[in-house]
Amino acid sequence: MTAVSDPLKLTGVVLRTVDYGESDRVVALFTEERGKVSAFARGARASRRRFGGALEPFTLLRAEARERRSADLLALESVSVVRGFGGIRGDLARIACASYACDLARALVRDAEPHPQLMALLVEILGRLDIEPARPTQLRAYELGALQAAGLMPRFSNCARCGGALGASGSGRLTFDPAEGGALCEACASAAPPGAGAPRLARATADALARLQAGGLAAAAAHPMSPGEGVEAREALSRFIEHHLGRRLASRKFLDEIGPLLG
Amino acid sequence: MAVVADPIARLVKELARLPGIGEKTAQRLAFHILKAGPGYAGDLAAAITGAVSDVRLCSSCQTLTDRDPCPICSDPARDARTICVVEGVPDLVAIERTHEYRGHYHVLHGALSPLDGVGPGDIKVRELMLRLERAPAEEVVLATNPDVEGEATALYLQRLLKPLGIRVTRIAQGVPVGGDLEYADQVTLARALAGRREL
Repeated sequence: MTAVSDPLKLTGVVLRTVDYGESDRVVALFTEERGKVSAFARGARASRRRFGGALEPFTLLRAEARERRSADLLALESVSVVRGFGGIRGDLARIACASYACDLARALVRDAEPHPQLMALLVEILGRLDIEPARPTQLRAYELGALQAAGLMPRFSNCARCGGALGASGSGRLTFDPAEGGALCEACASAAPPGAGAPRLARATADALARLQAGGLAAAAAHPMSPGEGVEAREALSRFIEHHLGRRLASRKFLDEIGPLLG
Repeated sequence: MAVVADPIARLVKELARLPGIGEKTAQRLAFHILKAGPGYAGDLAAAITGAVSDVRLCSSCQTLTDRDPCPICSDPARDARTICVVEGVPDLVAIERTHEYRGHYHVLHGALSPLDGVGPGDIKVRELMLRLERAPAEEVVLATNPDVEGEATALYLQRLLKPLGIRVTRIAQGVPVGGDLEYADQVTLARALAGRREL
């Protein structure tokens, strides 16, 4: 477990930590330079001197780490906090949303592949959660941005199967097929319907999601969804993300459990 | 041919299942037990089975005890109107060591963890609420850890307890006694400043 290289200088967000043995900790970081990496923080639990309170989820930090001979984990040598996002820790809804944002970023990318767009988006949503309340539309915009950065773009402006116009204006509803990658026009949905329980979207919800896809977190602040649109959008994106990840994120489960209490 | 006898291999395997014990430590412990002789092995086995069969959760505070209610809950000298909520039994022991607290406890056996999907149903929150329904408290001290999980748990409990008219307090966070501001880390010092009090 000897460190062999010159120190790497990394800037990244702590995605999660896992205690190891009596006094150590393994830290998952999403870094500008190397994407998602895991680092071994020796003595992080026993002594506060070296890492202080910096190795907590959501913290943006600068770190020095070394690659180790025949080991996947980097050896974390020192850290300094760039931004602690302390406002998040004072509100349960913000903690839940920030956890989900970190968890989704972690699940969407592979190790050691830089994703500057997703990194910037993660820092942006953490920055917003630091100073303003958590809002469902904001989380939907983050999901869409994170999916786009990972190369996945659900379609809401035209049919995901035939590419034609969606129709269903006014009170009509669209079928959302996670496997096809978006909303379906009426003809495609009736010709080969997706599995039972496929989410249904009002046209207004699909339009709102398309706006968020184009405008990002800024559009979420300018055009919040109505409660009805919010429920449909959450269900459609949850199903899309689960389809691509092959599992439900633990932080998503937590958000759903805590959600009713948050109002 | 096996390098060590099957009973030794089995003992090593079982010891290695304990948290923080790797294969080498398990082997060292196994050979120590064998070297110490049958008397020690018998005592150790009896202590383990005795602890597992005799220790249960206190029906009131949920701590581990061999008497129900536990000695703290049944002590008439302690203030039953104040309940200190902790994540685990070691935290209760740490607070008891201060000799500064004379109230009762409630052990959650965990903390909410958004990243691990640990929700309120996975820890002893329901037991706390039932207990408060039976015997209302005047103050609940939230002594969960000052990390994301501990803060999430404290904020969740605050939301449940405040509407009941209970005084809810949180243990202070900041620079340790005898510490040096110069060497305090940024996060801790920022928390200490945020939680400053008037003198």
